Amino acid sequence: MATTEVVVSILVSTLIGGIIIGYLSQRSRMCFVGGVRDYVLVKDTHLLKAPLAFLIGAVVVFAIASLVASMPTWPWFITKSLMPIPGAPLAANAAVPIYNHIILAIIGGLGIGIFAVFAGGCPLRQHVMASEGDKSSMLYLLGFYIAAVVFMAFILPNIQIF
Amino acid sequence: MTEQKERKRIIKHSYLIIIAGLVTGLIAALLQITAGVGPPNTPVAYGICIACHGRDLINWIINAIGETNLGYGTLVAGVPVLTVVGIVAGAFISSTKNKEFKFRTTKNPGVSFVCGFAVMASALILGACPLRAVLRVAYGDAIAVVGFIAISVGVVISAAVIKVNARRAINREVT
Repeated sequence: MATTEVVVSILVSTLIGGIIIGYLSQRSRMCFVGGVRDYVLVKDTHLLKAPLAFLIGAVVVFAIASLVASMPTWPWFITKSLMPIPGAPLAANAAVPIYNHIILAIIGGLGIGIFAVFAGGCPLRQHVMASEGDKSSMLYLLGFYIAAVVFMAFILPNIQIF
Repeated sequence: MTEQKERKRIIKHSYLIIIAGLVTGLIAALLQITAGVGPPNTPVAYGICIACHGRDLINWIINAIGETNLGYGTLVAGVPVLTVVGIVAGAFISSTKNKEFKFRTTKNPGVSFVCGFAVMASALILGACPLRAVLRVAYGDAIAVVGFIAISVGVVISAAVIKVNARRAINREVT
């Protein structure tokens, strides 16, 4: 069981990190889906810079961390090859073949891409817009969190190995 | 003079989005390394994920209130992380401070609701929201590369649908 200090430090650090991210994404209108959408629709690359900068920032931190401390599983592709990363559905089950995870990734990715554009932005952008007082984004969040409960309760147990 | 000002504003905005993306990436990786939002007890590349963290939070709360047993990802020290709450708080602080907070009504509430539902379900099938998909790519996960390409393809598909619909609407107005 974790000590109280550990719990408090995790809660506080994630809360502060989230506040910084929320503040910056409100100022910059950052959207991870909007970049590709704007490029396809009007050949505008402005929003594409955010995911690219995100990627660079994260890679730099991971690389420095692996130099100074031990990062046993980074980079994942070299240490674990095509193993699914924990947190993906069915990742805990080692018997699931790899093509299965790839099919799930394709289905999930297509779903996110198609519906995020109709909603008007990625989940991060919808949270930011709801905080700005947009009622359609608030309804989006309602559906978002109901789906979290419904998915874990009813859909995930029914995802079969195929 | 105004043109110069406009150009300056655009350049400032373009720096802002790069800084925002960079800082978000740094925070996402640092949360995993320092706050322990990472191995060995938790999923790796889990520093930020709107869908997963939101799911962990809501299901943890519902489990705490009712006697349900909803599943969630592995929790750090048994508590859900608060990044999603922080994002909403930060965006609210920013929008009120810069006088951009305004209640806006919606034209078709059903569409937003269904889209939210579908995006969350798809994100949990992929095991990542768009942010975590990029974070997983940074962590070196090949399946996340497939996932991000699939997201882009999905965006292209629905952008094409929007384009066709817009063209049809224009034609209808003309004829």
